[in-house]
Amino acid sequence: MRDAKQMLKYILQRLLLMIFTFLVIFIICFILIRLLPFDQATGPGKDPATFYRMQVAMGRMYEVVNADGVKEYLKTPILVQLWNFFKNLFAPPEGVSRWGYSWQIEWMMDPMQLLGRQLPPTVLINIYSMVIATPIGIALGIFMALKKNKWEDNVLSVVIMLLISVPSFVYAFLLQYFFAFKWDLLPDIRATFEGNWFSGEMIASMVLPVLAMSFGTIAGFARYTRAELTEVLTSDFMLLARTKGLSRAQATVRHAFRNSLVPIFPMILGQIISVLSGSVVIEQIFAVNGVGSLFLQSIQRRDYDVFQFVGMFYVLIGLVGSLVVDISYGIVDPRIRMGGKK
Amino acid sequence: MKSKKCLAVLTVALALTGLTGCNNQVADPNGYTYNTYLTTSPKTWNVHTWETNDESYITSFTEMGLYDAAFSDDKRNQYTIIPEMAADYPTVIDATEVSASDARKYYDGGVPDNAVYEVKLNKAAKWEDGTPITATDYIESMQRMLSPKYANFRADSYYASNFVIANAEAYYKSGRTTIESAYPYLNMDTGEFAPSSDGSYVIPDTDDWYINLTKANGLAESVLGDQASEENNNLYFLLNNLELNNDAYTLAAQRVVDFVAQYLLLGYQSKTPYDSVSGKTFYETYQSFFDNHKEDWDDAVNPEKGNGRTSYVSQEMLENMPDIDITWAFDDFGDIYVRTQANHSYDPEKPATGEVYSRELLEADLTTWVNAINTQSMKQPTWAWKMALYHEVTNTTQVDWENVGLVKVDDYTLRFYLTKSISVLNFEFALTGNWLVKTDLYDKLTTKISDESWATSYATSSKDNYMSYGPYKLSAYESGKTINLVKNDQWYGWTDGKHNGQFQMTALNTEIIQDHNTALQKFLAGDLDDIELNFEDMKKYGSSSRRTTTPESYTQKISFNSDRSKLLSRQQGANNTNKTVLSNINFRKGLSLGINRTEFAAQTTSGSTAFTGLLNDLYLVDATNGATYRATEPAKQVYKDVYAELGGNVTPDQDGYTPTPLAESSYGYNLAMAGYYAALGIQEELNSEEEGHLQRGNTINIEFRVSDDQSQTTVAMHTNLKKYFQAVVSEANRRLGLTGSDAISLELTLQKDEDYYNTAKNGNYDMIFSIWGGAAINPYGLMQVYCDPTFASCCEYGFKGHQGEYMVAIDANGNGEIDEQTENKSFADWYSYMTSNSLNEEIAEDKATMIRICAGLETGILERWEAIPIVSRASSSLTSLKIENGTDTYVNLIAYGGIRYMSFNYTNQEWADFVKNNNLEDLYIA
Repeated sequence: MRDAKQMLKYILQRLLLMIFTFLVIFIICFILIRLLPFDQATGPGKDPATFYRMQVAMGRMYEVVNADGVKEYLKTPILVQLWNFFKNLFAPPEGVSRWGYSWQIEWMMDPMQLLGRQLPPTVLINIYSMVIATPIGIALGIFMALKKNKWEDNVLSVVIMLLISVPSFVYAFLLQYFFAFKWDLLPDIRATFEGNWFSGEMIASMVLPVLAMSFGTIAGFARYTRAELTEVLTSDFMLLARTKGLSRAQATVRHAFRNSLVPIFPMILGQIISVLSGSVVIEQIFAVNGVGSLFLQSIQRRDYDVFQFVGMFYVLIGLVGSLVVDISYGIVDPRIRMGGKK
Repeated sequence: MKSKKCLAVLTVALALTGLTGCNNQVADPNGYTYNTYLTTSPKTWNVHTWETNDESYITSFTEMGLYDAAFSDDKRNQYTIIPEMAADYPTVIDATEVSASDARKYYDGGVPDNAVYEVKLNKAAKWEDGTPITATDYIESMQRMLSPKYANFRADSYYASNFVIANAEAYYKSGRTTIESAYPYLNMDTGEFAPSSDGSYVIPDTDDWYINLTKANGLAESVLGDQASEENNNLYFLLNNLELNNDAYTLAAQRVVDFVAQYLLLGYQSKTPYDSVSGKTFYETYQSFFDNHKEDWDDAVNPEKGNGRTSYVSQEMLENMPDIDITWAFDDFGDIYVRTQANHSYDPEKPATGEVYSRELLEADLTTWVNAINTQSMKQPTWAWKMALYHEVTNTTQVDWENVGLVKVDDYTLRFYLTKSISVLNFEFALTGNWLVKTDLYDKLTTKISDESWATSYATSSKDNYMSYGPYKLSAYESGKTINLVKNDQWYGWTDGKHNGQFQMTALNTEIIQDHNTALQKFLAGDLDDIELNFEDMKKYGSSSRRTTTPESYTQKISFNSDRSKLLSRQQGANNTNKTVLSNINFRKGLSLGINRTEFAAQTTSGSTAFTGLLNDLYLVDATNGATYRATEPAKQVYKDVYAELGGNVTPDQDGYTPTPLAESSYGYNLAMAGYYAALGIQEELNSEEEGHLQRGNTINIEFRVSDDQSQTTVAMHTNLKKYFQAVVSEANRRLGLTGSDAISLELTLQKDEDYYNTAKNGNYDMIFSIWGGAAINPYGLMQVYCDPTFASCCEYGFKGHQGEYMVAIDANGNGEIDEQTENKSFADWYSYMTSNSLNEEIAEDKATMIRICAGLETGILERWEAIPIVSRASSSLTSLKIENGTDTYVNLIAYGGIRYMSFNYTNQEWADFVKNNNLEDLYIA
């Protein structure tokens, strides 16, 4: 009971800290982005009104009517812009997006909508990849630990080192070349969305990017599991378990594997959280059009509102992820006390 | 348990079989689908706001202009303008037929000739939902296009070009405050803003003055008069291009540019990443400029060596330059330094070379400079600085839409009241684009951004946000991924009998594919019907019969520095190295003759072709039918004249020599003659007594300045040129008997210089690539860069500035003889005569004279061997065996016929079968 209370307190503290951290990062990003120059309307074919309208819409300038009844546009001080942003966030004027607008990637689209539109393919590919890679990686790791220093372990270690060393876009090219173009077994790029993310055509078109994403994860899990399990298997309590009469399989599954999960489980959690993030290179090769591409485009095209929104989305994921991982340690291994003090 | 496992395995197997099966389905087996790709997704395709080519991609299939370009005959090598959304060609309304009230409303009285047009609309035109398109649609669409609330990006197409709808600009700006060039608003007697006579504007009472070097400027237009064009009507052009021949004026101009450059440096140093891909900031760009001009920077304060740079602000920086509020600029960034001596630069370590700038000094400099150039005024006012600047202007008059010169005569007739006279042809050209939008949908998708500002998401994000009226309509749109089009059954062209044999394509599928390799592989798998080739691809597919080359109106040429004193200063301090030999015309001629342009184009470019002239095949002498300059007899004669005696293997110093013309197929390449002329030049230089002349055993070091010395293309070009030049020098050594330590060698070294055009402009270079081109319909205007001594961007230092002195004889009247009195003039005089009003392009004989002068100037420039053309620029693509272009000849405006004339060799099913049974890669390599 006391532990649960302590745990709750700890979670609350971490949550508050997380919100504080998020706000600090947000304010720094906001100020830095707002310090970037306006994409000013100059040169033939550009009209200042378009520019002013966009700046007003973004809260970077504001309109005032002077004594002569003439409308003027003034630069809004950054702190006022920040205040306006929060005000707009909670009480946006009617019909105006609370998150600002994309002016460069998708004219006038709300960044939230834009992110929402590009999340599904990224999430699906990452989930498929995780579902495939995690069990295979762990299973391989267990197998290697059990076959430690035997030829199976050596062969697999070499393969895993290769998978870890070679960047994922190299597998991506090879997979695409052989499976899609050379042997024509699978689609080369992601299928067009026609109202169903789970159609046969869509799933098939995601096989190659999923495989490309999975190899690295498989190798990572296998190497980590092998290392952890090898250490646990040589522990004294394993000898005790065997002496008590447990079979090797029983001792391995019930004692060794569970103990080795302490550092591995947070890895799995991290993997779950990262399903929201996209791989820019893989997305480009397979024309996935996911959030990785969105983030890159928002930088390349200077679509500041989108850049800020997507950037903060990732910051949030990172913070939530680290919180969940930290909390999970206590759940996986009750010996680890949260918020405990000496 | 076991049976469950078996079932699971079976399910997975079936699923996989099913999945792979999906890949082989053929949509619409009997249709003709064209599959293509874009590398970026358009952010909109609204005709009122589009900016980039990608953003006009969809509308090129789904919309149609009132007029369009089509092949004029069966040969398909010329174009003509045909009515499309218009029922017929336009009618010019005589000025006398305009009513007095309309004349007052649109013209303040006098109606110019050729300014009022009437267009009958195609009554069969409909929106994709079947609603007829009437004059009301055009009027209401234009009202939205020009609406001050939308402030659409494309609005200026109807008031800022040669197609100016009466009162369109006033309507567009009505009620809005805009930053405008102050010049037209100033009272030239007092320097105060003149009050509007009709109350159409108010100048806000503010001391905010803006400077912008690249925006249209009233002062520039006033100074340049008829020569003002979209490219040169700005301050930057004036500051850099007028030879003032007075240090005080020059210094004033330089200090203004210094100020802007410093402002940008300070601003961007602290504020912005310039290029997110390269990660370079403006500051870094700026720094690299100084690093690459160290010698210039160091020498700048030494009167003996002053290199005379006029500015150190790059074009890229300027293009991104905002309207700078000058007070704010000085307040915001602290000290801004400018130079104190004309043609010398500021050196932070030598205080006397610079001073802290202020608004007062800026005003003083502008006053000095404006008074020097403003030939319109003799008063030398102290307020002249205002003429160069910009100020806010509030367009107070609420111009009613009824006053805009686009009027509905009846349901299917439009009348255009234009402010400027325009020829029928140019009127039709202007209306090859359209402004139609489905106004009810447009309004429904409008968001009120602020009280006075609206924006619409029409033609953005979804096919439901758009309505087509052209041959095709959107069937699917997934932003960033797919754009699918199918035939628009409501299009009049399918049934009007005028489009038989056109638009065979039944569907167009476009994928957004960023990765070039993925696109290439898809093309080779038969999934795409075209692929843009890059330099690397050319090695494999360069000789493919399926390769299509799309020419550009640019010539890539070498520009040599031929100024002996500049070359001498550049070679000083280096042992055993020589550069002055480049000032020898025979040596440069030798180098030029040693360039194998055909090989160069094939090995280092993706589609460019060997070329020896300045104006390539795209330049037109008759815009009505697309007749090209290059096809005229005088233009054909250019090569014959320049290479008249440069053919054959026997050179003038050998027995049996007879002058032989060099075959056109050689494209100016003859190694024997190259060796002869290079040897001649080297011998002359060895015998010279001038300071720093070439000596036996010297290495000729040619520094080749390029913006990116790492790119594969540049490296390949450098390797080839080095090979050609070294072969020429080796041949010259052989001819001169120079061996061992006496032999002359040549090194061509790459030097990175992102600002190499400006470097060349000031003579601090040996050799660069300069790429020049311009409006295809104006070959004569392009000659300004070579012939106008005040045009600072001429890249041939040694020739630049002397065009008024160097003479060239041209048989302008075409009688076969040169009249020494009238036909032997300087380059500048010929150019001036050719572009003056005394020759009228509309008169056949005058046009023939202009062509002869243009060709004569081209010959004269080429025979100086400073500008050495190498290739005519082009891009290459492969088209699939599924389709055939409408023509093999590139035609201006229509290219190879586009979708209108494209024909299909296979239906979709036949193509799928063909792909299954053939290795496309092998077929495309052949």
